Amino acid sequence: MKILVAEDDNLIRSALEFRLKKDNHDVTIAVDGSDALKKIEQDIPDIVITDIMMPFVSGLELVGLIKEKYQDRIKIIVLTTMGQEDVVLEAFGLGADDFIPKPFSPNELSVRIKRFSLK
Amino acid sequence: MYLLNLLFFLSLYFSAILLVTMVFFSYANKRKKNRYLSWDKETNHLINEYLFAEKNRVIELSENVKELSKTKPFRDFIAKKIIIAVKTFSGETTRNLKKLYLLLKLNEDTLYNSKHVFWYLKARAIRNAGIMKLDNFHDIIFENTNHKNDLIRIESQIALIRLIGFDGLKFLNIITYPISEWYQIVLLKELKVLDPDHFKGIKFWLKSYNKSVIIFALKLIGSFHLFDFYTDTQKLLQHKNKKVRLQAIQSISKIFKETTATELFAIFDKEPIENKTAILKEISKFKDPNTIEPLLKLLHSENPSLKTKIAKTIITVDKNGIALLEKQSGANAHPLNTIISQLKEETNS
Repeated sequence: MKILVAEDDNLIRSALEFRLKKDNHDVTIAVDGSDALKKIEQDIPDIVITDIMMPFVSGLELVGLIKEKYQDRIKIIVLTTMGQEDVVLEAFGLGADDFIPKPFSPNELSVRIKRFSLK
Repeated sequence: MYLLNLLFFLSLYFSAILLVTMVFFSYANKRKKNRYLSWDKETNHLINEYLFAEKNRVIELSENVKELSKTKPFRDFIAKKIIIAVKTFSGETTRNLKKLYLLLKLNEDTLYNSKHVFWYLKARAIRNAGIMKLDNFHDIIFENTNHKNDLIRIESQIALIRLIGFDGLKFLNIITYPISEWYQIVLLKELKVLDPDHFKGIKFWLKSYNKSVIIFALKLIGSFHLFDFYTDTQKLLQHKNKKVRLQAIQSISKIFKETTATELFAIFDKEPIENKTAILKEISKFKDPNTIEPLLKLLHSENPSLKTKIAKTIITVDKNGIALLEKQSGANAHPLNTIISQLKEETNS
């Protein structure tokens, strides 16, 4: 699957890239929300994994913008911090398809992605 | 002429110095940036290897990392990265990262900093010990849970919970400093990610001379719906401190039973306005038709703001609340008539 990871922390970004590539996915990384939007324009992914807290264009804004333009063509998984229930609800309201609270197991992420590929 | 020449050479001289300094700093900055970029690459690779290592696989440190780890800036750099990774990932991966933390002997830096005279280094070290679950830091962390410095104290309290779960709440037995409202929220947030366990100390904490400990214990009762402590909570509705009573009102409503509304109405009159408001808020959540009659009696309050709140509670509890209010004596007189028409507008919009 083509997956775009939008995360501002370079360690987390590289860890997700490392893991997803290990699962044989085609991974593109974006350092923030606006970078993600540019990369989506160039090559539309199947799934976007985005952090909520990012500079320039936040994760929530990104969810809204992607769903407005691509609707269900792109699935979105939101990474949140534990206890951000309001943010999760807002993300779902904007069209997010799934969320994973940090800390999370990389295996769990793989399973969630697999679920989308089966749909 | 001589003076002009002197000024010219002096300005030339200082410009040259300025230029050399600028070139030097720009070079130093570039070197530093390059060094950090290379560290970044090296540490990301190493952490990824550890994060996703298969069980029992031994990962050797490269010679470069071994050499770099002898320097403090690199040790601080990689420690920070490991902490970020542990906060983000869970499961087997964090155990691997703990192995890396110990292999690099970063726990020794944590130990050194946990005794540091600078409060911010001490607080950070204690936080790291909690995140990395360094069991041998238990005593250091526990003794700092009542530190005079706010940040050291709260970081220690959080770290103790991270280290030993609900047992970590034992700091409530010894703290003399208050836990602020904000940190009570932070502590509850930490507890909510754990599997609910035992609450051994609650009865003791409810009798603490530290008011914030009583309030926090009441919050535990409410948040974790600890029905066994109903009677203890009920007793605190009579506590001499109004903030304790306020929390008791909020907590008892989360473990309410048939008699709770009656118990809250019994204390209503003698409570200050903020506690009265809290009682009304909780009553409105019960949506119990039996509360309508006592609420209608309270409607004769002299305070117009309170009267409005009572009227609002009535229409929240009963969908025919407006009609009930209109039947009351004085419904056509000020201020009740104004309140009713305002509520009508609100419900219509």
